[in-house]
Amino acid sequence: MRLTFLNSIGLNHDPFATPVAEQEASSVDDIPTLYSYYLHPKLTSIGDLIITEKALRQMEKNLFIYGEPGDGKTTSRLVLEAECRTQIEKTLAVTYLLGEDIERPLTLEEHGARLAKAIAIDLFIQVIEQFNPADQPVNNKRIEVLKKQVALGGRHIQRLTRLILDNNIPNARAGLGAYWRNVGICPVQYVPKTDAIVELLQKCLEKSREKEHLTGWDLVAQGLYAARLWGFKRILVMVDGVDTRQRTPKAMGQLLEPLFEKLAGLTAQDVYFRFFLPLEIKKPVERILRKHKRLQNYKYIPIMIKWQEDSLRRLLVQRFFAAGSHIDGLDVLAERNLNIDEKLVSAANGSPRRLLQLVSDLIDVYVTHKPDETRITAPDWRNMLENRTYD
Amino acid sequence: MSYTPTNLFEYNSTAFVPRPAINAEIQCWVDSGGGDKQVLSLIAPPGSGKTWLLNYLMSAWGKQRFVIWVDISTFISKKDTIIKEEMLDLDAISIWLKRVCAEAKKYCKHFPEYDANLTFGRMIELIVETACQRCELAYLPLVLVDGYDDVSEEQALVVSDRILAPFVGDDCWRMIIARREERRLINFKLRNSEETDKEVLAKIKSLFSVTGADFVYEQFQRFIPAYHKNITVDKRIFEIWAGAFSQYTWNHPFINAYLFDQATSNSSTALSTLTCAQLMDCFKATIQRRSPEAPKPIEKISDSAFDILRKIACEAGESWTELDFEEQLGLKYPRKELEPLFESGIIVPAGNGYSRYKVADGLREFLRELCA
Repeated sequence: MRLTFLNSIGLNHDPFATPVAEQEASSVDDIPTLYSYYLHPKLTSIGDLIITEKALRQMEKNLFIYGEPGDGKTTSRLVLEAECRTQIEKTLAVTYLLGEDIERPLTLEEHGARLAKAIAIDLFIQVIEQFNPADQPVNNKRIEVLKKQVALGGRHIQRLTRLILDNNIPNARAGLGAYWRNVGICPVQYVPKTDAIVELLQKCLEKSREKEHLTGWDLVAQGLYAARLWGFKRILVMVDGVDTRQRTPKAMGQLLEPLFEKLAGLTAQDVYFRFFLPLEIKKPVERILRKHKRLQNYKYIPIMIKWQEDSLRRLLVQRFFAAGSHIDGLDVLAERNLNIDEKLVSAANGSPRRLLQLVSDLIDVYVTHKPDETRITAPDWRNMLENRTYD
Repeated sequence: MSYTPTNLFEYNSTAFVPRPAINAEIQCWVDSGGGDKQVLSLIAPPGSGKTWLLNYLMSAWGKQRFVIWVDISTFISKKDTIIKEEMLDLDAISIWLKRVCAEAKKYCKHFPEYDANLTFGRMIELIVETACQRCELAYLPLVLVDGYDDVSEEQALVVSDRILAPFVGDDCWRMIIARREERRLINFKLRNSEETDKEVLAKIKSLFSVTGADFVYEQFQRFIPAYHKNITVDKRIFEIWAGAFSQYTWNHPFINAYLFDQATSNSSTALSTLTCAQLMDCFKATIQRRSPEAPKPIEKISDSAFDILRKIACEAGESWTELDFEEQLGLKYPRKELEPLFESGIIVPAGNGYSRYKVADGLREFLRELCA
């Protein structure tokens, strides 16, 4: 019923199906519609300095981006990653997730091992995505380092390689990119299946001549070397997923602390971190950074995500537009003087996730209307508030 | 005597009335503005001269600046397909790329030769990279994109993904896309790179909506040598026509041209005696696609939708909401009939949000004349 209604007002899909970035990014096979919804939030640093999208991508500093749950941290992270992967700046985007699979604080060495694997997977994907034999001739050295990354990436990467080699290019906007979901990565652009890519992948599956038994941060160093060899000039490591439900602020701090020890050393190698963190951990992070002698000269750049009513209103419009509708809000469906869009933006209280959930709930109330009532009414609004699914 | 319109869609440099103010504004954006926004959408209703302006910029700027022309409709395969790999006409793209590479060499020797062994996507990336990293071009290179409205959304998306988006992969390029308001940019790179500065957009919009007797007069002065060289028009009659047109409220370049063409082709038809049916033909011609061979079929506007449209233009005020519509016109909102009118850019958002709409500028005034 909901979809029929949305189609009847000119929407080609449900842009309010889920307000959670991870679900939006994984709900479809092709390039996620999430990117067409995206609206850059206001990011401010010390002294009300505004951080643009470009600055977020290009600043050669480690940045700590803080926001409340539902403020769009993960969405910003996904878009930042997509931009790195599509701009010709030769920036390798590495996503380092510290999600709920981690039950206790990691040691420095364990961080190294996990980060090395993340680099391996992202490097492999981005080499294929940006592969240009005219620019980067395939030589033994490049093949050898990539083979090591394929081995480090494990079964998932090897299966992905076979999938590409054994199948036709998918009928998707992303072409080969549609396969990236097998390794948990969003496709962001079209990737052709060229003879050169096929040849490269075949070589990657050959057994490596050299046997090495590296661990932890040595593997990271190996990944960084491979990235350099494949033409990447710098690396952005995007840390997200720290605020899983079961983790206390103290546990979050403990999880991050070993990683901070490496910041200075990695920065010297053109590796820059973007930490997407919950606001509640801002003070603990600052305490940790002060505590470490090695970090005392380190320039800490905190960035806050802020959503104003005007931006939330534009976010709503963007959702409708991205779904192909000429309707730019729910006012058009509501009885006169109800000012439903204004009410929604106000009730969202600065949270884009809350706004989207409220809209979704209101649509549900509306489609279960009595057939003789064709407009959203004041009782509908009250009914929605009483039964809302998001607090 | 029946009237067959002259081909008024094809760009004709003799007939084009330059609009120096908007050229200057666009040039200012291309060279100094933009910041990290590389894409400027030139938004205007059908028939208001977007394609002609792009053509003019191409010829005027192409002498000093590396300008690439993209007509999206020429890249679409004739095959009726939903398979994305088959939507593009690879031969047409190769021919275009060969031309682009040859042209590029005139501006910088480092630009690559066309290489048939590379995918077109890689070839475009090489051109983009070379311009930014190896060439010292005197002016930022520019891509002019036309035909965005002439293809389906799916086709526009495939072309945007594979041909247009790589051009915004580096900051040194600028792109101008002519499109109607309702055909928004969906590709996320294009959308994220699209200029959003309200002041800039409002200025360009106001400069583009030409009005006034001067424009009509110059349009007519250029019209005869461009299309009807063998016709001698009595200067006095010409003055009367131009004077009459300048009194009309629509001031719409294509409608002006169409009606003048009709009057010039058939000397028995004076402008003042144009029938309602003739005016309707003019309106339909205005909203039709440029070419019947364009990949997207010509929009068919039903008679009932047309009647509703006239009613809206005459009775619903300049802009309206669904509720106004029902209250003022006493009609239940005909969502289904109006959908193709939104699709073809005849009804557009009024720009002040809250789901207010209007009939596109120029067309609204013309429809009001039709009612009169």
